[in-house]
Amino acid sequence: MADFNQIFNDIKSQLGPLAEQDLKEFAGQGKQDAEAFLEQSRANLAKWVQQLAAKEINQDEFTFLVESQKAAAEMTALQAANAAQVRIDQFRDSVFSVVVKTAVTAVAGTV
Amino acid sequence: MKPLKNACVVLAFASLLIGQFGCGTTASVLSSTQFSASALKTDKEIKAEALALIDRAKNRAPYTDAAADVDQLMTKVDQTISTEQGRTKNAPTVAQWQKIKTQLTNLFALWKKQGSCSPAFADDAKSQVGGLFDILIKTENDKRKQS
Repeated sequence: MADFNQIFNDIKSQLGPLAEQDLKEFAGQGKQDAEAFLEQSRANLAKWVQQLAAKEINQDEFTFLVESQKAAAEMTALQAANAAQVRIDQFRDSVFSVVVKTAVTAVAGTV
Repeated sequence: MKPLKNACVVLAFASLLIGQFGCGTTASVLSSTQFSASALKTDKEIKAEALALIDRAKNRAPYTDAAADVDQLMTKVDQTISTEQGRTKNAPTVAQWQKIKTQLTNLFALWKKQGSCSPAFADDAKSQVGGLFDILIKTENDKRKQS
């Protein structure tokens, strides 16, 4: 009979590094994206303030542009949420794969 | 008795695993965010149409010249939102489409109210709307399976 505790410990030892690697990559990419977005927002806002002062755009147009930058921030957050969901799905699939492989191997070895 | 014990071990793992993911149905637990080549194609097509339309505002073109095309574009946007709502685990993309729809609606309403747009504004509005579509396209690309 396969030793349940042994199989469980086997699975645990495989899942730890898997989760750590996935999360580290995701957090690193998220930080880079946020920094790039902030830099781009600053440059855009400076430009639009200047255009408003020079009467190249009117106040309604200025408001639309600022709103569109806010929409871009929200869309970037939604992109990150989607990427996190994809990572979770992939991690879950990896967990299933590790559990099934480890359990089947252990059980087959005892038959 | 051995096969029965082995089956019990496998079942114990399966229930342990399902338990990790809360109280959802098994189908919901196992469903995934899926990449769609067709959705990506639609994203790119509507982006191109929207930007071409905004381009027409650059030379102080009157809104009335573009009104029919604006209506057509917004109908396509509504149809796309309906399609996206039918996809599994797709809430972020649906919310992104709704934000794009709001921005396009506000932009065309402003163009209509003013009759025409200032060239500097049309330039930046095009770039901003293009940026929103780029984020939407990246989001779809992120759904591709990574090895």
